[in-house]
Amino acid sequence: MKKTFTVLLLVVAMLAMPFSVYAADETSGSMSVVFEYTAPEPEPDPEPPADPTTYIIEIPATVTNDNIEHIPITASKNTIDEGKMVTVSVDWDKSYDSEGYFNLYKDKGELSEESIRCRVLLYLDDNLTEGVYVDYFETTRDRPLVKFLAGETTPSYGGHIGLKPLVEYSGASSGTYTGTLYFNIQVVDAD
Amino acid sequence: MKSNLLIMAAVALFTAIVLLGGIIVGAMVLNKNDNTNSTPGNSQAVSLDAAPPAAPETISIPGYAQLVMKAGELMQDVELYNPAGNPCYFIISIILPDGTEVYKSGPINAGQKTDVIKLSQPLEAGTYKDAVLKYSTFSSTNDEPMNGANTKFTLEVVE
Repeated sequence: MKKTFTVLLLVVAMLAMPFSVYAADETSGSMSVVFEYTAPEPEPDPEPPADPTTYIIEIPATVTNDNIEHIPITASKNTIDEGKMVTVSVDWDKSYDSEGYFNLYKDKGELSEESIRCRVLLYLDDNLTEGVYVDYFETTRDRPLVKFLAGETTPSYGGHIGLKPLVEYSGASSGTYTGTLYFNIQVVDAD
Repeated sequence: MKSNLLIMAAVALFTAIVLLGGIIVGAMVLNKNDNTNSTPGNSQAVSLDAAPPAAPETISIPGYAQLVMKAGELMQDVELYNPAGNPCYFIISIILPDGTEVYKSGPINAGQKTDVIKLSQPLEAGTYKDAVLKYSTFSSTNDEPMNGANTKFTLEVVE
């Protein structure tokens, strides 16, 4: 038993002992490795697809009796050809009723539907002090509400409309009335 | 006499301990009240700047001077899109100058575009001036119609 223990102790001691092995003909040396690496140029970002649009016009999303006094029409892009201009006008047939008026509605399409007739006003200055109506009279059909000359996102004419609800004649009850305006946008020869 | 001194010393020590404890507890209570006052829900302590007036919501309508299509084919490579940020989805129609509608899209959400469209009828080669892209817009939240636009463009149909 004691012998076995001794053997085991020796085995453990041998396994735990670090040892080195040397070749008979000992040589030593070193080697430097130099590797020139040129990282490839990072791939350039792919060209964004060509934007086929030549202009972007910002129209009001909705018209309600909360925002009718001043409705701006603006442009955020304009790359039309020189000598041209972008104009925006009211789509008369889709926006106005048979008498040439714009209407705001509450509960449209329901039995409780109510409406308020509105005049559509084009302001002639940026201070909104003068304006002309662009409804009812056929002579105002297709009258531009705003003009943007080539390359310009600031209007050369117009750009501000407003609605005047004729509440004194409507007899309508309180509430939120909404309406939908449609616009014609086109590129024409500049004035 | 000696015992009186001892009693007085004990009372003084007790009083000092009580006072010190009172000061600590008082400070903790005051600190807690200060924290309570700074919580967002307390209107007495929080002064909120008035929210800036919301800018009027707008719809961006893309305009094209010209679109090119291939004659005699229904499938056309045409990119129509709804700019990101619009509060609505578009349904876009292409209408020839004579009023014929040759294409009507499905709903195109803000930020989405078409790559290929299918016309309802093949077109003959030619230049169609004053063709119309009709943008019907509907609220992304409740599908209610919103203001729309027609944009005129030149449709070039090539062999």
